Amino acid sequence: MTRLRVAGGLALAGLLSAAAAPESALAHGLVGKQDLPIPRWLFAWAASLVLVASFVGLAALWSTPRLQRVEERRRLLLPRWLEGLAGAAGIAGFGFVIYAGFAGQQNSTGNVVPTVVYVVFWVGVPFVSAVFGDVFRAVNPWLALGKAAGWLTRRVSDTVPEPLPYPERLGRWPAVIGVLAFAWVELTYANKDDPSQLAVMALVYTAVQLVGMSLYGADTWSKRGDAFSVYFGMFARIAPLRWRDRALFTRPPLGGAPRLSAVPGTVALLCTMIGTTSFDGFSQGSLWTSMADRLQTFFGNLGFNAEHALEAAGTVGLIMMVLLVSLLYRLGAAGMHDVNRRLPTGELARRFAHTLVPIALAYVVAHYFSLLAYQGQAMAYLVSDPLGTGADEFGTASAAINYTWIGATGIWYVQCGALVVGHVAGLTLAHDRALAIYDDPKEANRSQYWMLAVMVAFTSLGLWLLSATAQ
Amino acid sequence: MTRNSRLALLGVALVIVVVAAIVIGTGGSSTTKSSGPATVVVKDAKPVGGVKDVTFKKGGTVDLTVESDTADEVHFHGYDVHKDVAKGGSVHFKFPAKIDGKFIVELEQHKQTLANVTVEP
Repeated sequence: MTRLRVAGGLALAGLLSAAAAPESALAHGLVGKQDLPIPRWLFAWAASLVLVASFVGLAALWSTPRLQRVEERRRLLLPRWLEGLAGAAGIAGFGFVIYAGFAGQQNSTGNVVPTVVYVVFWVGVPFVSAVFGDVFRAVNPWLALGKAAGWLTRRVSDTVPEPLPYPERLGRWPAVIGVLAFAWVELTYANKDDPSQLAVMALVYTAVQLVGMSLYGADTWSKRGDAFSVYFGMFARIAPLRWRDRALFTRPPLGGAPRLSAVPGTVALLCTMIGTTSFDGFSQGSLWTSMADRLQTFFGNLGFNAEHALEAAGTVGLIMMVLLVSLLYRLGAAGMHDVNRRLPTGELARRFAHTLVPIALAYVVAHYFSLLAYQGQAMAYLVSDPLGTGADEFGTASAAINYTWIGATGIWYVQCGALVVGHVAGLTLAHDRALAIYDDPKEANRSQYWMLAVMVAFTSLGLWLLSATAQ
Repeated sequence: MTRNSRLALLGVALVIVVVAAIVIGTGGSSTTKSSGPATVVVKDAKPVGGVKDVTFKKGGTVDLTVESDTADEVHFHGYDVHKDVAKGGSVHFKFPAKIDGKFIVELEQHKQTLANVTVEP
């Protein structure tokens, strides 16, 4: 318990060591308009709403598990040709992005590639997945390529080796590395907006996927090792729609999350998802700017040039943020272990891993909603002139981004609303899982004070990242 | 959970609401002030005195002058206004502050931020 307290104190001190500093950092090369920090009154309202929702929730919660097994209803069955068509469309789209990356204008806004990668793909797909389920699986170009390759091999050769059994210990770790690598490129790499470099990285990623799929089978690898498939699939778990074997099922929202099998790397993946998004918010703030200055000087003294020193500083910040989030979550699990020592801390961390999915989604919405809302509109003119050559394929090349359809106030409400809803969803899932694990409902409730503390910490961190102190 | 502990938790929630309402209510509304027309002086492709922070109020007028000893293009992001500046010349941005948010004014070819413009809602 004392060790726990010390660790808790350290985590809190880390969170609270905010200090104001001058000058704000330069944001993504894509963004023409940055969000304003949420005002103090909204911060106060959102924070108290979180506490109220938590206590009312604790008072009103059910005493037998309800979400552990939900009923899924089959609604419709898609024809087989549609599956092939969607896969082919995915490969074609991917191929065009690679082509545009090499052949198009080499800057962040004239070429379609940076917007496709950072806005449509990385941010748009999670939004869609959380509502419509794992639709990315249908158009996943890597899965489609792997399946097509498998099909071709079986046609030309009689002796196709069986895929190797996927190593249990590998779990979702390849996806953790993939998500971390992508986040590193997006948040710290100096040439993140360079279209041809993005195309090269996409090709390298494809090669890794093909190797993985050839070893362990296309389906297995795509569920465990394909970082994007795993990442988007996480958000799809809380969607009310589920796609399986070409059939569409409906289920209660959040109902898919408790099914998450916490194989090795799952907790790490969710902490990485939350930590990297946090760093995106944090790295635009003045506190980070002053920290980065010092780190940059430090790495500069080690012999790095200015650009690489800044990248090294960003790498340190990114990893620190992921570790901070992991520590916070681990602390909650350790607290639960303190209530009932039957299950070890690591096992508890895994059994509650799915409660982090709505938190991760809330962070994505809070940090990227405005990017999608504004820069997403750029697709209107980029589809007509994808290479930046002055073409006008669909007559929309002269369209412009409308920055007035939703203002700063509207964005604030979306950001705070997402965090509050994510907080409630996380608590709901945690409470339900506690009832399923502990025989005594009283013990379940006591264990949940720890999860409540963790969720309040995540939501406060999220709000703080949006507030003026962090900005 | 017993009925009493439920009531206790609801009581805590009520207390939080009351306290929050009082705290936020007495906090007073912070009024942001427009910094008015501003000028950035550019010397050797860098803003004199560092990157300038300027604030305008939405519904008012954005009024910013850039005097430069370096020939380049000045790009007012978000509002997406580009103006060429000659060596030793100046450009004047003046338009209604219709979009709120934070915007960068950049010396385009030198990739140098000159000013951070905030338009408060």
